[in-house]
Amino acid sequence: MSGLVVRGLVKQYPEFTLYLDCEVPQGSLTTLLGPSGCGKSTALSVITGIEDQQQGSIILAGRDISHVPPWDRNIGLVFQDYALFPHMSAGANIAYGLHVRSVSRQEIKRTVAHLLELIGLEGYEHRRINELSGGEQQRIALARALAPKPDLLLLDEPLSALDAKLRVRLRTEIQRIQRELGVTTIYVTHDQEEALDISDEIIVMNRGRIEQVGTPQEIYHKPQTLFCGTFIGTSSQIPEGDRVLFFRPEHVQVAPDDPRGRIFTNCLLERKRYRGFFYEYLFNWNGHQILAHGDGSLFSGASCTLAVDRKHLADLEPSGETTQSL
Amino acid sequence: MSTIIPWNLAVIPERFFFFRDAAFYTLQITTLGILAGLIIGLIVAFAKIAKNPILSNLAAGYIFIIRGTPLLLQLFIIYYGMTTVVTIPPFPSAVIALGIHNGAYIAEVFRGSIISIDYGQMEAARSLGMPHSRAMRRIVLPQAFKRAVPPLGNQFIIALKDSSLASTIAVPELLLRGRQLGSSSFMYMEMLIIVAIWYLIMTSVLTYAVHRVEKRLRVSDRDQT
Repeated sequence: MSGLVVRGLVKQYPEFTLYLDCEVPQGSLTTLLGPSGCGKSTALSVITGIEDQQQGSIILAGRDISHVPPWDRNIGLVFQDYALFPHMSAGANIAYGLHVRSVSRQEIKRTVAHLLELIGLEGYEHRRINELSGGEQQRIALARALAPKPDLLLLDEPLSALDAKLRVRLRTEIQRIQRELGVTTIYVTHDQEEALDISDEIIVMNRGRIEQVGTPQEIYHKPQTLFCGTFIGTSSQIPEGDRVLFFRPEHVQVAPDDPRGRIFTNCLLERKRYRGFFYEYLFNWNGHQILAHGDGSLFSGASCTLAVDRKHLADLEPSGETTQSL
Repeated sequence: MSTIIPWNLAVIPERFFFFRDAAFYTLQITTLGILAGLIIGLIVAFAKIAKNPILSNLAAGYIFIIRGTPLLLQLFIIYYGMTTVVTIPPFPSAVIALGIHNGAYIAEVFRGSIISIDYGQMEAARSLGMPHSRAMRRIVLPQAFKRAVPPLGNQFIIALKDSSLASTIAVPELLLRGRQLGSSSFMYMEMLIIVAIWYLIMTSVLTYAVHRVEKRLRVSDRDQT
């Protein structure tokens, strides 16, 4: 397959080792999701070639780039802090990567105009970088990375410097542009909501290893490790023997008329939180916390029965760490 | 008959332009010294940030020796010390000493401003396929130069005043002319005041010029976040 194939990659540091083995399908938008320090950035440095791996291979668009220097890998990079060139106009920034590739003047002009249109900033060629807002700068950075028609587009936490509303708007933009160009893309983020929103596929990483690879739905509904389950969304974890029972609050039936599946009796409502269109209940069952959603008709101190359908239960190994904070 | 001021200040405007040629010498030594200093400084700065340990150590040694010894000593070494090998006339000696001396300081100014440019700039340029040297020229240096302007201006003013040390090796610049005219007319203070005014005029012009350049560069940097 084309796209990106990483095989048996090992990068060792005194305190930390990265193991990477994954495929990013041609034309897909794949997010690399994990907490800070999980190895996302290291994975990125190795793929871009800023760091050398000790073992393993990287194949991009059918070309083995394992030992190709960074500037020859044809990877477009979008940085967290944009790293735009402040002494050049927006247009010159976008055109920069085309100069090395002996592209004609006219072709450069056409590409810049096309990209500006694509990112919705027509007529911004001659704008100075410092006249642009954060969101506009990020779009110029995206256009600059896309101009040389990279085989792979890498976005390193591209929206973390922007405010929440703008983040949502821009990630939708990025997704649209990515679809339109069909460029194979890796999007690095620690924001699970962002990952669920835009990804074709999510690679969840923790402690230098891949925990799970799957569609957002698979990752959310069928977590394979406790880490994945708890890193994304909210959940309850009930130890049972040497395993852990894992389920989502939206699958918990509160005081059902006909309880089926796994039943928890005598659950004490400890707290409820108003979440807008629903309430979040925090129950105590034999010293374990169970999260559920409800209409708010119960009050603290109430005791009731909870039930979870078997198909919504996951039976996970307890060894992994959990990341959920309540 | 004695006045309150024991000097004849009226000669100051009268003799002011006696110093024109001397001022021109001062200006020449300074300009050439700074030019040499800029060239040496740029080379030494690159040598010092080079990965090659021989180059970077050589540069560090140069800076260590030049900054650690007085300019007057350096001037004497070139003018008197070198006579057994080659005799260098006073004027070139002064220019060479000033150039070598300022080279060390300017090297540090350049080095500082180059390393102050966020490494992400270089990374971004490299990721777009630019070779290191070209990324340095097109991306890092233009930005670094901007940051180097204020400390460079400062260094130029210091160099202008340091050029007065050339008076010790008989270059007929401002200070030497002041001393000569002072001793021949017995109006030491008057002549030295004229010298001071000449220096003040020249440093003022230089300060203003640097300020203008800074201001122009700052306009393009406004609201930079």
